[in-house]
Amino acid sequence: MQNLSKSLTKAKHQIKKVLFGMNYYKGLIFKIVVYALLIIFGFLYIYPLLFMLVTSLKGPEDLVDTSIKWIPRELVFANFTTAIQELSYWKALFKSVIVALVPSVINTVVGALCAYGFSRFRFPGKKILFAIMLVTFIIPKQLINIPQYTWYYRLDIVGSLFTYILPATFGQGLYSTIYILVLYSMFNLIPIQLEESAKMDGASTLTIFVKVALPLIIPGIITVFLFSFVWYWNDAATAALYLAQPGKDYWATLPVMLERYQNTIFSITHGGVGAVLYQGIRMAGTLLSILPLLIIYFSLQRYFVESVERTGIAGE
Amino acid sequence: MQKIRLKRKQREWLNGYLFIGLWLIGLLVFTIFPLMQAIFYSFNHATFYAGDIKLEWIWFDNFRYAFFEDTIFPVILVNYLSEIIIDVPFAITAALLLAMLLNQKIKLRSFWRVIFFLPVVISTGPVISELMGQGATSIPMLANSSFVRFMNEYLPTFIARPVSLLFEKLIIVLWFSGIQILIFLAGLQRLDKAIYEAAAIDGASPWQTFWKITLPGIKPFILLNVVYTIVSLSFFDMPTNPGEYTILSYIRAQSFEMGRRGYGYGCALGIIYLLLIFLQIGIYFLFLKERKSRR
Repeated sequence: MQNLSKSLTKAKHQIKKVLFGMNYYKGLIFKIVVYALLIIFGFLYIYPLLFMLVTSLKGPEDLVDTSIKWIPRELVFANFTTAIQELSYWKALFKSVIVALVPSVINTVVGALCAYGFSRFRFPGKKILFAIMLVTFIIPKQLINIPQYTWYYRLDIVGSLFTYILPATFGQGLYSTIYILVLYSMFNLIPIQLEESAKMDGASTLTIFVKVALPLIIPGIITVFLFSFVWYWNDAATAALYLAQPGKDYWATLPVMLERYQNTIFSITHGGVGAVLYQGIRMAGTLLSILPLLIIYFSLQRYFVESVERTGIAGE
Repeated sequence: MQKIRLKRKQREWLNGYLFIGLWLIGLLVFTIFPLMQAIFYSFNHATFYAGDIKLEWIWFDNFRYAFFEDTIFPVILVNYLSEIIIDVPFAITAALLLAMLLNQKIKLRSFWRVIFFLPVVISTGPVISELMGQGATSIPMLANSSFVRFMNEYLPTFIARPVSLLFEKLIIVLWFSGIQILIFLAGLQRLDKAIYEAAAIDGASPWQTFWKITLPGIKPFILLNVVYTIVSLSFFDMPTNPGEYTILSYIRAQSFEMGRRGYGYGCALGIIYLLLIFLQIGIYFLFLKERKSRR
């Protein structure tokens, strides 16, 4: 009898230990809560993507039928072929790549130059300039764009890539401040001794920058380039203003085409009942417009996700 | 000796300026100058036609008009403020929670990180407007819940509207916390593990550990993230239904569409917006700084 109660309390302790652990963190309950939250939030995060994928595969009958939510009766790929036509997909894809690629290369190069300047040299006014750079992050580009648009109009470069290249060349491209900060903190992390010994050997400053310092922060350079590419790709508003004005829209990017297609459908259906029939095509188009980004992201995800930790930007 | 050192110093100055040169020119030409121009325009009735800009100095009339005569701007201004007051703390809390989850010893850690960071890569205006238009950004169970209905019925609109809106675009606000999650994660990983072990030995619960160790430890990151969240939410062209405006789309409509009040008015609205963003950051700054010094 005594033995039984003894083993019972022992079992109780054992269960308690498994459930709550020695110090909460190792207990089963804690684990369950962590994973449950992760799954719930994870589902919330990818819910729109799942919705997009499923809807793009639905035929007209399934779109109208509200009882069919997640599993279409049959998979319809016609939406994709229609969307490819409506968006002039391949052309727009090529243009999007160029529009994102060219300013991103410039952004990265100029960002690295500026970051190195701030990281390695002492010069009067450095602190103030650095502070000003941080403040420029808070100025809405939409405000700056108003006077800039009038200049570009006068220079007759609205609709050309120069509207993107010019600001990027002078370190004022899209989110340049962030990139300069990231590269700045990366330069700060590498030891200065290597550069000093190169200096002893008589290398010029530019040679040291290109041959010694830059190779050490290549992961950071890739990260900055990728972010720049993705964010230029996504910047539909600036593209609509500078690259897709009526009559000057040679460089209309995929997001711009998508927006146009949305407006066309709206003017056909006026948001009425017929709109539901276009849902499949619209979702297919949306998916197609972000597909290249998804491919880049999933194949190079470590450059995106580990970047913030590695750069130590958070410490600045 | 003195002479050589001075020379070397000057060479360092020169090198510094050469490296930041392009950026410095850009700062003056592509940021400060247009900003000045925008401020100047905001005091003018400015119209742009066929490459010529016509200016007529009208002092503060654009600002007066914005607040007292414009029927649309005050409404979207109040909407913006009431939404961002709720959205920022929500996004920060969610980011912190997710960062702490990711900081546990979990399986498939990088898989989870990839999921939570994914929206940073794909959230663009047209994509989000598609998703919002189809109702894919809200959880129907939440948005139509009896709680929201109750709130809409019994609470004043200025509270009920932003909260029910938050439910409607819940996922979008979550989507805007990708970078913040990583920043928090980096912050959490800097905290000394030994302190947590000591606290656990002393029998501190996770709840106590959070308030006494984690939160004070990552306070600087909270401020950084608040600034980032305010800026990214404020500068994102949140899509609207045709005929409705956000401040950004209204600024664009006023500046670039014919028959409106013109560039000057658009600039005035932009400057009001800029000041509002500054003000918010300032308030959060004071709030988060003061607490720190009391400790």
